[in-house]
Formats: sequence, structure tokens, C-alpha cells
Amino acid sequence: MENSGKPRLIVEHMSKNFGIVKAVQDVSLELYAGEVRGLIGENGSGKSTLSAMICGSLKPDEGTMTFDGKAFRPKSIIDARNKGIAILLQERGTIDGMSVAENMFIGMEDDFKGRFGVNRDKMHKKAKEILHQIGADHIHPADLVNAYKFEDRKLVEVGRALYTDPEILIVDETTSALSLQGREYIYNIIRDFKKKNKSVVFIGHDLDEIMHVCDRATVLKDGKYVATISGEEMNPAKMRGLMIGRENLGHYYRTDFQPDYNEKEVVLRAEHLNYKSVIRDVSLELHKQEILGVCGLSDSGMHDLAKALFGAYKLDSGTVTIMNGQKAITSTTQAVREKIAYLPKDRDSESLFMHTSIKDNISVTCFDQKKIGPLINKRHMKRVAGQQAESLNIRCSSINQLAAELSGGNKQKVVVGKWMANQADILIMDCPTRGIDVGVKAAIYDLICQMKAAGKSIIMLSEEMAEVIGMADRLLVIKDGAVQGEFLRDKTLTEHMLVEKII
Amino acid sequence: MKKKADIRQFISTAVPYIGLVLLIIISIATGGKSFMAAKNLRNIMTQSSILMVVAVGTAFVMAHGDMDFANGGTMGLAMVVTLALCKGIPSWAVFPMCLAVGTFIGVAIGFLVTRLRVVAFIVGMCIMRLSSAILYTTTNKKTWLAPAGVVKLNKPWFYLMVCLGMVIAGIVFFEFTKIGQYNKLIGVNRNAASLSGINVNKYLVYSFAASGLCAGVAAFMTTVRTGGLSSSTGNYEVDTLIALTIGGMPLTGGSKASIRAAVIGALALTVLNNILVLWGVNADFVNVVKGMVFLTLVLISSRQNAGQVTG
Repeated sequence: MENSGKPRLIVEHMSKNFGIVKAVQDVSLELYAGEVRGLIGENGSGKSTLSAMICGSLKPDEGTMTFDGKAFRPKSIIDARNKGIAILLQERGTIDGMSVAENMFIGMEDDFKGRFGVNRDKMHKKAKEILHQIGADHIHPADLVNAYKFEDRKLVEVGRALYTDPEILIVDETTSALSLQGREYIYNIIRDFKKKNKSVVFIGHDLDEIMHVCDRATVLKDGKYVATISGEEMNPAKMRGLMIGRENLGHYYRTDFQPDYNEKEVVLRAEHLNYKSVIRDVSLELHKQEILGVCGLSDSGMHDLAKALFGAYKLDSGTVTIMNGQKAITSTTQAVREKIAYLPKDRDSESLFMHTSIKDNISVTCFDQKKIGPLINKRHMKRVAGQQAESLNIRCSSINQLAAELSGGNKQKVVVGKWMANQADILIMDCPTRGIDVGVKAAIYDLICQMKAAGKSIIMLSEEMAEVIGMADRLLVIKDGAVQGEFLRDKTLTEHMLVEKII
Repeated sequence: MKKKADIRQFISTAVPYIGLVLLIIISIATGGKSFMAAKNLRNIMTQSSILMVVAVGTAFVMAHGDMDFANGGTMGLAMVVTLALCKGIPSWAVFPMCLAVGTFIGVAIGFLVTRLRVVAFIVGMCIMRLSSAILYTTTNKKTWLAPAGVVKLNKPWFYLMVCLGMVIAGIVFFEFTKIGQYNKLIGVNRNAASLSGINVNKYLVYSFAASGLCAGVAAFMTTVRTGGLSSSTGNYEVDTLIALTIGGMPLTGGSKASIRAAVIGALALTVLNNILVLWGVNADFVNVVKGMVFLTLVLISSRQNAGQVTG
């Protein structure tokens, strides 16, 4: 590596336990000036715990940190930020009802003391300056933060992190919540840090992204340090292998490169769908045994399209027809009756009954199965839930465990189980692997292939182009609510070709 | 094998039972002969049976997380329509009439809530006011008596049978049909329920209809008991709410909602009322005690709100 000189931040023998869970065990690493370091591992591997200790939000049980030659023991996030280490979090960190500028300088209002309390003009001027620096001129400091969408709020947080001019920036899975454009802002900031010979710790799930953004990557597994890799070694296959602890994972996406579906048999047809200004004259056909990929930016309207196909919207015009029986889909109830499944992007709030058992979550689609006269058959429902939990290999103590207690991947399996229990033939999967770690991701891809082989048809919507290219037979690109292009499965298809249509 | 979740589930189910048993033991110990007197026990049964029937219906509405303040008003209106508007109605028609009016009001509330998007408890408040105003004007100058055939039913077995029948029917509809089960799921996550194919509006209307129907039955029981119309008919809104909460019904609805809550709660609240009166506690102070019990339970239940739907 070209990293010369002494490391800026040295982390030595750090450990952190939560009760009996050993979240981080004896991890050491050195971060050099001008370095962008990836931190990767499956869910629960300890990467967020480690970064939380570095940025001051958690106290380590053991271990020491040295920052620029001095012992570094931050008392809080604010203390760490004042000492030069700032963090960007995955979750939403802005407060509704406050202005953009107030959110940016929260806890630092003293810097803007005027004669009567806070000097707003001064505050707004500074906020404007910082937002300009990161290329977010479209955000106005005096506006309420609620007025902005998720992505822009994230940029407000970026502004907050940059205000103290940190030497080290920790980016904790921030980009997985952002669209392509939002990510580009973050990448620019990272490049800028590198140029100024400052350092970045970048935590993420998307290995292609890690490969592009980072100089080196440190792999954690079960709270322990595994390896730090760089250069040629930093390829997704190698990283994945280290994360899971097996070198040879076999296939990840589909291994064939031919579109493979029944062209003659259309199972679902959407004609001239219009909804507000979000969906504009979209028509599409889904064939039997087809994986139809749909990709676009998060605000392209594709998530609304998914809901519209499932009958969740009252459309302005257009029809969704199920070809088997020529029935128009006008409500979710009817969609489910016609064996359509919908796996939303926002699992927790749109698909799961959180403080409710896994059993009830899965069997929600089974109330009409094997009825005893007019009464529901609870024994049957319990059996179905048990079968699904077993065949999908959901990691739980029992099917009476609450869905809220499961990890992201297992939650998604519960959602899949719910639709399999209804023997769905058409599955609309919106971002099926969002926030899911690599091991379970592979299982989900596997499952999609199995469903295809079993004769089911799948619409897979995703913001991750790699997975759509890797899985889909046919691919639609959505921009501004309209279909911009269509591609067939092909070995030569690259993300670049899609990006041109997306932006 | 007992899992953590199962044990937690067991404890939260057992608490209301333990409370009821303790209350009864205390009542027997301190109330002694006057508590155990046949007349007093009969009183408890009559009072709790009407409250229980109302609470069984209310449980369907609370399952999806709405407050039902319409039950007392619905009772009052059902009685006004049956006794005053249909003056001289034959005895046999009183019961179906009460049922029909109650159910009709329930369905109407359902449509107001689902189609016109009025908040359920606001609708309830309006019905409560409307009912008390109408009751006041109708009973102001005239007494309305129930047909003699109806009054003849005023026997302990009548209350027992009706109450038992309604509780059993309530359990069947709540636990073994989609009406109860879907309303519980809607209470957990309305969005997810809708995106899982549940016709949310339809099942909300069913729940209000169930509540109206039970209020209709309770109106009939009250007619039998009082023999006519009085200005204080109804007034069950707060008592049902307290009773259900004592029985373990979460105010936000969801997976822990049950008919059991109506049964245990109605019994416990009636016994509590009764023993306080036997102790010679001032009637106003009885309300203070009920208020305190309610507040305590709300505090406890807002801290633990987890469980299962299909039991």
C-alpha cells in the first residue's frame, strides 16, 4: 500500500459484551492518513458495535485507542466529534419540526450566539455554506426538515458531521438507504476526504460498492477480526468467502445467461397504468416462469408501481389483469385471492405484524384454508406456519417467537413464508434483499430460482442493479414513473448500460 | 419445552385471573355474610351479565385499536326506538327490535368511520350525547313501560342464559372466524393487514356491527330488568372500558385482545363496585377508586404490549 508514515488511529484489543453476547472480541486495527477503509461482515459480526465504540456512543469493555499519538477515550458522540471523529448513521437522525439549520447545528448552538439567543442569520449562512460544499444547494437552511425526503435529510446529517471538520469520518451503512444520486454525494465527500489526506471508515453490505469506494477492507466475523485485504484480493467472491468463513460459496446469482421463460404464456398484464404523477402510462407483461427485473432510483416510481400491480392503489386509469380467468385486480384482497404476493420494500411497517408470533405472521394468508364448516382451522394454520418456518430455515426459538425479535434476513423469510403458505403464483418482490446479510441474501436468491423452477412468475424490483442483472430474465428500467428501456438477460449486460437509462 | 415467549405469554394471561380471585377472596373475607347473601350474589350476577354482554361486543372494536364510546348510547337508542317509537309493540318483537336497532347503529358507525373517516370515539361521543338528550326528552313527561311479557323474564336464569350464550358466541366469532382474528391483526399493523390482502374496511364495519348487536342484546336485558325506559339508561361507556382493561385488554388492541378480558373484567368490576358499597364507601368515592384502578392498569398495560393472535 502507498500508505506511508504512522497510523492516525490505532485500535488495540477492543472487546465489548452485551450480557452473554460477545459483540466484539479482541479486535485491533490501524487506520492511516488518506485511507478509505471498508469494514465488512454479516449482520451481528460486530462492525456497528466497533464503529460505535470509535465514535464514542458505546464504551469498550477492554482495549485502547490512540488518535494521532494521544490516548483517545471519547465520552460521547459529541465529545468524539469535537476531537475529530464523526459518524454518519444508517437510521434517520434528523428531528422533525426543526429547521434544516437547527438540525445541522444541534448541540452547537453556542457557536451562533447573538444578542438575543441564537443568531439565525448567522446560522443559516453557515448552513448554506456547508450545503454548498457538499453540492446540496437545493436544500434551504430555513426550511423545516420535514419538508425534505429521506435522502435530503441524510445530506443534512452529512452537513452536521462535516461542520466540525473531522479528521476521520465513519460512514455506517448510510448508503444502503440512499438512491444512486444520494450515494454519489457521499462518494464525493469520501473522495474529498482522501484528497485532504484524511481518513474514512466505510461500513456496508454491498460488496461491489466496498470494492469501488475503499482502498482496503477489514473483515469481521462473529465479533472477531478475520483479515484485512487490499488490491486484487478485494473482489466480492473473496470478501464473501471471508465473511461467511467458507472460500467456495458456489453460485450467488443465477448461473445461466439465457433468458428462460415461457414467452407464449402471459400471466399478468398491466395496461396504461396512471397514478397521480408517480406512475405514467406503464404497460407490462409478465410471463410464466419469468423473473422480470425492474430497476430505477428510489423515487422513480417503481415502488409505487409494485403496489399498483398488487391492487393497493386506486388507479387514475389503466388495468391490471390476471390472465388466468381474465380478472382485473382492483384490491389487495382480490390480488391475494388470485395468488399474487407482495413483498414490500419496507418490511417492518408494511408486511410484518411485529409484536406478534411468527406463526400468526405466516398464517395470515391461510384463514380460508381447510375451514371446519364456517370456522377457521387453527390446527391447520399452525401446521402450515411450522412447515414454512422449517422449509425456509427461519432461525427462531419456536414459531411462537415474536417477529420483532428476528434479524432482517429472517424477517424477510417470514414474509416469504406467508406468501408460500398461500401458494402464490405471482410474486411481486420489492427490494427483496434490502438490509439482509450475505448469507441469507444467497438463500433468498436460491429461493427465487427455486420458485421460478416451480413454475411461478416473479417481478423483482430493486435499486441494486447488480442483483437485477444477476437474476432477471428480462429487465425494465423505470425513470420518472415511466418505462425507459427494456433489456433481455445477457452476459454482456452491465450496470453502466442501465445507469444511462436510469439517470 | 417452555420457551421464554411462552412463559411471558402465560404470565400476562394469568394476571387478570389472579386479580379476580384475589378480589373475590378479599370480598368474602371482609364482606362476609352480606357479600355472600343470595340477594347480593343475584345482584352481582344481573349487573355483571349486562356489563359482560356489552363488553363482549366492545372487545371486537377494541381489538383493532378503536375506543368504543357508542355502546351505552346505542343501548339507549335501541330502547327508545323499541319502547317509545314502536309503542304497544308485542312482547315477542321487543328482542328482535332491540337487536335490529343496535346492529343498524353499529353498521352506521362502521360506515361513518370507514367511508367518511370520522374517528370512532368521536362518533361514539356524539351517539352518547344524542342518546342521553333523546332519553331525557322522551322520559321527561311520560313513563314508557315495557310489555308485560317482557317484564316476566326478570329471573336470574334469564340473565345467566343470555350472558352465557353471548359469551360463547363471542368466543366463537372472536377466535374462530375472521371477524375477530382480522380485527386483531388490523390492531397490530393496519398497513400490513391491508397489504396482506385483508379487506380492512369490511372487517372494521363487522366489528362495529358486533358491538352494536351486543348493545342491542344488553338493551333488551336492561328493558327486562327495569321494566321501562328511564333517563339513565345506557351509561356503560366508561365501565366497559375499565372492565376490559381490568380483564387484560390492551387499549391499542392487537394480538392480546380477547373475549376473556370482557368476562373477567366485567365480573371483577362488578365485584369491586359491590364490595366498595358494602364497605359503606361513598358513591362518589367509588368512582375515584375505579378511576385509580383504571389509570394503574393503563400504565401497566402500556408497558407490555406483546403476544399472539391465534392463541
